[in-house]
Amino acid sequence: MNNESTPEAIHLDDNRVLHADGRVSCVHCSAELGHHNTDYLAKALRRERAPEASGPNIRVKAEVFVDQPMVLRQALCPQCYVVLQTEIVPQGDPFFRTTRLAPSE
Amino acid sequence: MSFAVPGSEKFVYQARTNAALQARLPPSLALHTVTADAVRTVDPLSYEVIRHRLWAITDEMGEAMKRMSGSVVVTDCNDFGPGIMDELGDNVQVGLYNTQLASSMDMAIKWTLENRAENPGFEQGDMFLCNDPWVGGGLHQNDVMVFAPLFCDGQLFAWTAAVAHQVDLGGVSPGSWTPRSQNVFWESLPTPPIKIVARGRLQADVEDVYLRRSRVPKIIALDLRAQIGANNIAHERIRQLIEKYGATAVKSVMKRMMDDAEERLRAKLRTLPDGQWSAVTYQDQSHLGDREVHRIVLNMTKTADHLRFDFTGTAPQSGMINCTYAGIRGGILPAVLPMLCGDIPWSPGGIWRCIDIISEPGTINNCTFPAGICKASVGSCWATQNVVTECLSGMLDTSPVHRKHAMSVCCGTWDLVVLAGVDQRAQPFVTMLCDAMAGGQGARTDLDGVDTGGLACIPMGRIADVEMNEFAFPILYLWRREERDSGGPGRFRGGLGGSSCFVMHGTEVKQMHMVFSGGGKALPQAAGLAGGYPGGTEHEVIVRDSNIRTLFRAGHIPGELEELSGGQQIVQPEDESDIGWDDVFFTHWQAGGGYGDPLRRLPSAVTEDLAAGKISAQAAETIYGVALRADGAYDEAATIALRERLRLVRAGVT
Repeated sequence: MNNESTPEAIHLDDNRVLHADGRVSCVHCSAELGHHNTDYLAKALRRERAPEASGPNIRVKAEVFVDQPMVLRQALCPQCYVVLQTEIVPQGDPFFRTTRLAPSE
Repeated sequence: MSFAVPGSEKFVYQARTNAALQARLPPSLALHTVTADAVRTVDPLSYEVIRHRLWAITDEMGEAMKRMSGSVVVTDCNDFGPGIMDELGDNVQVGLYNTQLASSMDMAIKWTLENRAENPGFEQGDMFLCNDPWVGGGLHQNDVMVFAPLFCDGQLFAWTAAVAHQVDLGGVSPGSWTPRSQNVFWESLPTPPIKIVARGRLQADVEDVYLRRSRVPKIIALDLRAQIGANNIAHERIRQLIEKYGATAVKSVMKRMMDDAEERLRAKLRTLPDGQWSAVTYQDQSHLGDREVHRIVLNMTKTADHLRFDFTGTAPQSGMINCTYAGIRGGILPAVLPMLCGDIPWSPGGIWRCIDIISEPGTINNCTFPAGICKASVGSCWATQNVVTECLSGMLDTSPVHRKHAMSVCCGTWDLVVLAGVDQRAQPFVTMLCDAMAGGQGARTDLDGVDTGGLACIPMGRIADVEMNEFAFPILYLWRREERDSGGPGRFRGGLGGSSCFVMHGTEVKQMHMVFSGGGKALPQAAGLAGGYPGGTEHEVIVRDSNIRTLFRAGHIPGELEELSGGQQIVQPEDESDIGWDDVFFTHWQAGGGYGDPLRRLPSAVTEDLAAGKISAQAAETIYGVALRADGAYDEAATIALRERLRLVRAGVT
């Protein structure tokens, strides 16, 4: 496994690169995060915490307004722990945020 | 549960090809058309001159509205949208004002062509009024569109339109924004296109029917004249263009602008990778008393030179947050224009040709009659814009060339506050507070979001001066400012949102009614990208029976809520209440989402933010992992160690 982008590799964002062989890896440490044939974050570490863990910008607890508990949900690189995805969502909601490029010709 | 109301189907816009629409028009309606050859052979110089002139006309329409209106929402905040359409209603040019409002002008005109061409018919000098979002022309009933056919030598040449947010058009609650709404019958009456000006003469009976529903008919009457004036100025200017260049040349340029927008957008899309990007957003509460969250799901597919927006899986319609199909379009176009079309003519008639929409009727962003829609613009339409922004940014981020145009979600919604009561001139007033126009913008892939930079959907949106609000309404500000820590943390930080705090002032009637309708309190709505955190939640507080008057008498203006005595009432997302003379109201609207991991932000940028008051020491240390020294600078070695420790804590591996 290496971290060098081949000409065919596509940087998906600040942290992830999709290689020509279908591997999705961490830009920072080369750890494999997933694969084009399955899920781009299949091997990412998934972590849930209280929304307030995202900082002081969460002003009031969700329970004041709604019945369903909210969670801070993050996907992280399993090796260097850089955060790949951050969302605050109702607890137990499916993972809707995905990326999938079409197979190259 | 949704069901069809017999007879209501007439008032739902039906998408048809132009050929099918043309086949439904009476033979007596002569259309001005040009050949494909004429469009193709427009000389480049004429094309650029006429194209820019048409763009300038939409600017001038905006100026006309601002000069004639008496509503701060229009005069100072630019919450309106002008547009120029061709003979079949395809949108040739939208102005740089509220692009949400301009997203469905074509729908209303095509409906009017289909349903009004024979009866009452069209003549030069006619104008129609519409505020029925199922027909099109706006997102909720407050968005009133006045539009006018322009004839040239007896042929229907074009249409002009001006949509503007009206401060009150009736319904259960002041401002026509009704948290108590269970369906559209609790709200302002939707009005399908009616001829309000006939051959240049304002129809008194029709105007009276329109104004009678409002709590502030004088303001509405003034706005109506402003919209009529905007159409008049547009007609005058287009006629001058026709006189100078000829009808064929002007029309050819109009068609070419749409073709050009289509071709250039397709060309840009072809340079981007094919793929699918999905996103989700949530609205907390759909009406007063609701305790649920309601989601909008988007799966965007880009194939070759085409975009498909599929909203399958979106929640069923509920309460008053729904939008019609016009709202879905109002969520797509305002994201597509700035992100994909910065170097392309803003000619939606061509841009729409590159886009498909899949959506289930009966859902919150494609609701069926008689669902409540009074919050459509900043409810499900805005939420739609959030998921569209997220997916478009994900696509752009994969391109080294176009990455710079990706942006995290801006200010998750509009923090609606309606004020109603008796003003300092002993006159009844109703208004929407437009301070939320200074929303935080989303972070870019290489830049922080602009603090209180505005709203992506209203490029020329403005925030009224505090003094203007204090002059127009019986309020006195304690502060209006940027709010520390509100921007979504990230390698690049989301732009800060702001807050306002005020009390009643100068009126003999020491009580004011307020309507609150802003989501994003239970969870933020401005998502981050690439691991960036979302912008902050919205927050509103009424401090009841405070000591504010005592503090004023002592010559002190508080700068924090904590300086006030009294009970703090946290305002629900959908709520309605009175405030009294000693109450203090605080509203804090949302910010922009961040981009990238905040532990990768330059420590020097963090300390600069800290020094500027944009973030707190708590955020600097616990979110950005910057070890601060007593002098406000950072300790490099300690920062490296702190960041390493926070990575482990965040990952739960300690």
